[in-house]
Amino acid sequence: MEGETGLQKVLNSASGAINDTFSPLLRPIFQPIDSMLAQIPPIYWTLSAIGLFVATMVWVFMLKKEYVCIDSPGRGLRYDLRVWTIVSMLPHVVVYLYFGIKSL
Amino acid sequence: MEGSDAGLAGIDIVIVVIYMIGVFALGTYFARYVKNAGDFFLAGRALPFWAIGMSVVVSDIGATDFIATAGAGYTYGVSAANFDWIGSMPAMVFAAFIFIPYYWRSGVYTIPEFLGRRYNAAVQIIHASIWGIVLVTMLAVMLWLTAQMLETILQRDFAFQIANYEINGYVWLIVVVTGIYTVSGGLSAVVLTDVVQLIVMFVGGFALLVLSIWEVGGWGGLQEKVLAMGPEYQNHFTMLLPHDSDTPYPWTGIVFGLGIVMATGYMAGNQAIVQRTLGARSEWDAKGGMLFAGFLKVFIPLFVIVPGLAAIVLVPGLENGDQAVPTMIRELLPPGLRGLMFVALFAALMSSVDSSLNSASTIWTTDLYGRLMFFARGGEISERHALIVGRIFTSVFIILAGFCAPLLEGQETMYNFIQTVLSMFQGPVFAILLLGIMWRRTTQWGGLAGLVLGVACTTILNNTENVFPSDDPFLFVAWWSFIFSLIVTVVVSLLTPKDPDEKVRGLIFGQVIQDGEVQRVLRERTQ
Repeated sequence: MEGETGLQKVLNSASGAINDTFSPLLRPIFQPIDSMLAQIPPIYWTLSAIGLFVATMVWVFMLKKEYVCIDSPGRGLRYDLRVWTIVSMLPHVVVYLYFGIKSL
Repeated sequence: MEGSDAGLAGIDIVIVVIYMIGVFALGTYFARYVKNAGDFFLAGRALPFWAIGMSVVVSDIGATDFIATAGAGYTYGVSAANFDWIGSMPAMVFAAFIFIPYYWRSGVYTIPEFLGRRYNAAVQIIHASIWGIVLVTMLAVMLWLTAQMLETILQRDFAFQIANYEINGYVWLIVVVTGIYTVSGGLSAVVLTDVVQLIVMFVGGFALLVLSIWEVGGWGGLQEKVLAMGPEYQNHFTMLLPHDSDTPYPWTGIVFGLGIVMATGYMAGNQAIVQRTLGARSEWDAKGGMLFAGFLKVFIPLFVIVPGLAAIVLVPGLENGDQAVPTMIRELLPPGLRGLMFVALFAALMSSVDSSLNSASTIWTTDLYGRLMFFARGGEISERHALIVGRIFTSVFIILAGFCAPLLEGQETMYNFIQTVLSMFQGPVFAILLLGIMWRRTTQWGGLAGLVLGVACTTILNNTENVFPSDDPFLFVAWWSFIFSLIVTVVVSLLTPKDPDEKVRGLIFGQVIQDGEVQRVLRERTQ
């Protein structure tokens, strides 16, 4: 191609060689996976995203309080990092719920 | 709309000057507290959670992100916000409760240092070299992209010519101010100036948000007007897009590639992010800082994506989405507010430059120079020696970046190449970090094979066409290279001899968290 720099030429020819070698091998592996994922209904997209947030919050509550709050400068809810996790994550969950419901 | 002239008014220049003097004075003030390498690289382990949280956010969000994320909002709609929501918060929680306490207790300065202890010198040097080079190159790239942004706002050409002194002047002002306070004050100066920079960035971002929403008639008006622009805008208010849609952000890539792999790899494996938490005054502050950062990141898309969407209505027909915010600043903001937004972009840039600079210097001093000296002299370098070398590296890198920035003009390939190199490592490094921490049986050869073959896998996936539905499948590549590296590391570890107990003592999560004797030794090391 006209105007290509030396670096571009090397990168383009390496990229072409990789594509020619591996595309025929990888397509039969990934295309069935892609077809399967493309069938999943939209409600599950939102549930997966919210599920990641909820699972993370549940996981934090499963950790020992002594481990989560070690070196805490005080007692009470405002020093409990499990509560911080909920407070930090809830706005994110609300956003995904809002857009999820809107797109249904 | 205001339809203002290009350039800054007198009031805008006054705001810029006050900001620069304030940040310079604050940054250099901390030089008096820097006595050794621990003070310089880890702020003497005295940082409170709120400073860490604010610093993490501004280190992550640069001026170029402001522009590029708003550009993605302009082109793809709200789905670009996933990077600051699902692409941050869950990862920050995992980083806060798995990786950060672990790094913090093991008393390391850098992630390559941990990889060197857990695996071997080859893994440490490969990882340190890549990050060392990428961070330094990114400094020049950040300055160059900022110059391009200034070019759009001020409508000037960027080149080192006398006629274009204005943009060059701003770029070198940033180089000099950021360079001096980072060299003199180290991480304390970087983090405390980041706090001011975050406040400035939020004030500027909020001003742009309010004006954008006002101009388009509120959130409802924005949706109505954007959706009425044509069929290509029908997905602009859809957060999760179909798996087979031709965008870089399909829901599967967002949840798995971004939410699980790229985000966690970034938050737990990026030296510029992790270094702030290593400087915490306590483990509670380190964890709390990450959670606070996650909370603050909720607001970022409001400041960048919403103006990007408003630009579709207010300045339609832009050739490139990245021109959305600079054009809005030029067209929409009156004098005074334009200066404030200008300063907000400077704040975003300087906070990313100082973080990359300090982290690059830490990696070069600890993992490359320190290793070289260890092999050459058979011993660790002293704290004083490390401090002097760290300051020399910091000075050299920022000056080099200032001179190299204009050379990147017309070299978009270099920028893309650096981004690609970085993305190639994220999945594999996260895999070996995770296994190294969580699984005792992981061996040094398993880690090395997982890293090298994982990068090979990324290279192949990045260069094969029609394998994934999107033309820009980086999220899928991150996920599959992570899975591949996990498998390779497990298989090679099981085929090679177990590492001795003395080598991995204090480096496995279970020991660090539960073994009383290991905890006592580690606590002594960090005090």
